[in-house]
Formats: sequence, structure tokens, C-alpha cells
Amino acid sequence: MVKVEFPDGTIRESGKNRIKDILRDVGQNENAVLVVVDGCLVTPDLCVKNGTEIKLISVVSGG
Amino acid sequence: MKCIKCEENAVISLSRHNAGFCKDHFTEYFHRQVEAAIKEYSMLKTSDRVMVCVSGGKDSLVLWHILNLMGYKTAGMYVSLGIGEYSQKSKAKVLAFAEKNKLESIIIDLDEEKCPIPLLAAKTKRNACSVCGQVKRHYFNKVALDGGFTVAATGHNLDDEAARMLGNVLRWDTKHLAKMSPILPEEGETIKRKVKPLIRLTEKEVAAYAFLNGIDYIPDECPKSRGASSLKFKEVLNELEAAAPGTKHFFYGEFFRAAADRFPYITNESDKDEIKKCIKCGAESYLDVCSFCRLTEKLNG
Repeated sequence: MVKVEFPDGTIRESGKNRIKDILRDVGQNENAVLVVVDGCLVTPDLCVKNGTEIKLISVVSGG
Repeated sequence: MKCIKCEENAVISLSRHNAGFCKDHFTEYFHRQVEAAIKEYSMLKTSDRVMVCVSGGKDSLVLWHILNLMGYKTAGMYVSLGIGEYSQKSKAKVLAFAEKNKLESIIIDLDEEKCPIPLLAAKTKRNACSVCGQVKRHYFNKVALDGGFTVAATGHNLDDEAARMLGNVLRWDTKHLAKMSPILPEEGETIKRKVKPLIRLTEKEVAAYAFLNGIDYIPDECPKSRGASSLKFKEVLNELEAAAPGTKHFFYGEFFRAAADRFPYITNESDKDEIKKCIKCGAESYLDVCSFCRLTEKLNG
């Protein structure tokens, strides 16, 4: 499983391995977040191993 | 995914350009987009003294960073809104950025001015975002005039403006559709030219630039903006963008080719009589007392 940390600090797990699929699995639009693995930005086509922790950074602001 | 320019691993994928970029080439792309916007709309001259309206968020700090890199004479103008911890944290980000880059910052504190946004919104029974916009416009104009600035630059990006345009179209708000351009002219003595140099870049691209270039910003949403319709419009546009990359750019950009001439820009000056000075604060106004002073008068009521 891959551990996904949301911008509000909540954690979810996904059984997918490609970032694009993980985002879809946790209901997150890829245009609304940056995805960080090991402190680096990654692209949606990247595949990660089981046990990887990914962090989502919200990019949406304004009111 | 590899960088389209050098075959390094890409750090960002831009579906609307069918391209991925490494850090260095993304930074190059980003700077080129800002330069293109400034040139396309004749936003800035090298002789300008630029007031960058900063909030402590990613967009305005990235804008300040880039305009400074490009050699423009800038100062950051920040209005502390009096919204508790959020205001304290955002002000700290602005001051830290200014200190790190040895840049001038101008701070207006609404608690010190005795008109914090939560109090004004409560007293006037108005939406906080609407009151906030009115108050910030007053101080932007005042500081620009007092400080001798020739232009005010804001960090609005493509997502901000596409969402605003969508809202205006859904309401057929012709008055505001006429003000969608990323450059608005100066009016009278007090209202300076307003420009939006990040207009060609998406919110995600701005956030990626901030992350990759170590620009420390406040990621928190303004607590008063929760439930704002603009956030819903952004969500809808992101869904459309995922299905059809380039939608936001096309929707916003093509407006100026296909429809803008049907919504001509009308200055505040042209549809009113005579411009005066507010008898309370001296700002330009079409009434004896300007809208800001009429708003703050309600604090005494």
C-alpha cells in the first residue's frame, strides 16, 4: 500500500502504484495538488513502490 | 517522464503544452511566460516604480520574486486584515521574504487602523470577502499615491481569472466582464495602472515554481474564504482541464479575441459627473464622502 498525506494532514492509503492512479483512487484532481515523494516533485506517470509515502500540497487559493 | 528540453527526469507535467520539464527548464519556461505577458499587454516599463500587492501566499510572493529578478524597482505592499492567527502568519511570511531578499515592504495593519475585516463585516452585515476587497482597494490606492508608485501588480494567475470569468459569465455580469483584461488603466490621480503578470500561468505552475525555488509562503486558505463561489468555479474548471487540457487557457484567452469588444471598458470617471476629494480622507470620490469612509463610519454606529 502507498500512504497519501493530504494537505490538511489526514492520511489515506491506496493500493495503486502509479501517481495518476493513486490520485484518482483518493479522489484528488491532479490539477489541484503538487505531489511530493522524498522531498521532490514528481509527475503523474511515475510508479512508486509499496510502502512509499507521498505528500500532497494544495495549489488552490483565493476567495 | 523526461524533460522535453534535456532528457533529465521531469518534475512537472504540463498537459496543456504536452510537455514535461526538469527544474531548470521549468524555471526558464516560467520566466518566459511572465516576460511574454508583460510584453503582450505592455504592462510594465523599466522606469516604473512597481507596488506589488502581497498577501503572504504563493502567487504574490512568486510575482515579487520574479519582478525583482527581472530588475524592476519593486516594493511589497501588505494589508494585515486582522484575521487572528492567519494574519499573523501571513504577515510573518511577507516580512521574512522582504528581509531575505533585501526588499522594501509597506505594512498596513487593520487592527491598528481600527477596522479589522471581521469587525467591519459584522457591523455592516456584509460578506467578509466583499468588505475585504473594498478595504484593500482603498489602501492600495492610498499607498500607491503616497509612495509615488506608477503601477500596482497583483499575483492573479490563469486559474483565478478563468474562475472569475466563469462567475461573470454565469451571472452575465457585463460590468465586470468589461474589466477582465490583465491590465487596467489608471484613473484620476489616485488609481494607478493595475497589472497581472502571472496571467499566462496556472495555479499549479505557480505553486510548483514556489516549491522548486524555495519561496516560503503561507499555504493556509483565508478562513473567511471557505465556501466562496470562486473555489467551486476553480474545482469545476480543474475537472474540465483534466478532461480537456488547455480549457482554462482557451476560455480566458479567447474571450479577448471573440467577445471582449462586446463588453467595452468604461472607466468609473466616464459614467459619473465630477470627481471630488473625500472630505474625510482626501481620496478621490464621486461623492463628498468616499465608499471606504462610508463603510468605516458604520463602526461608530
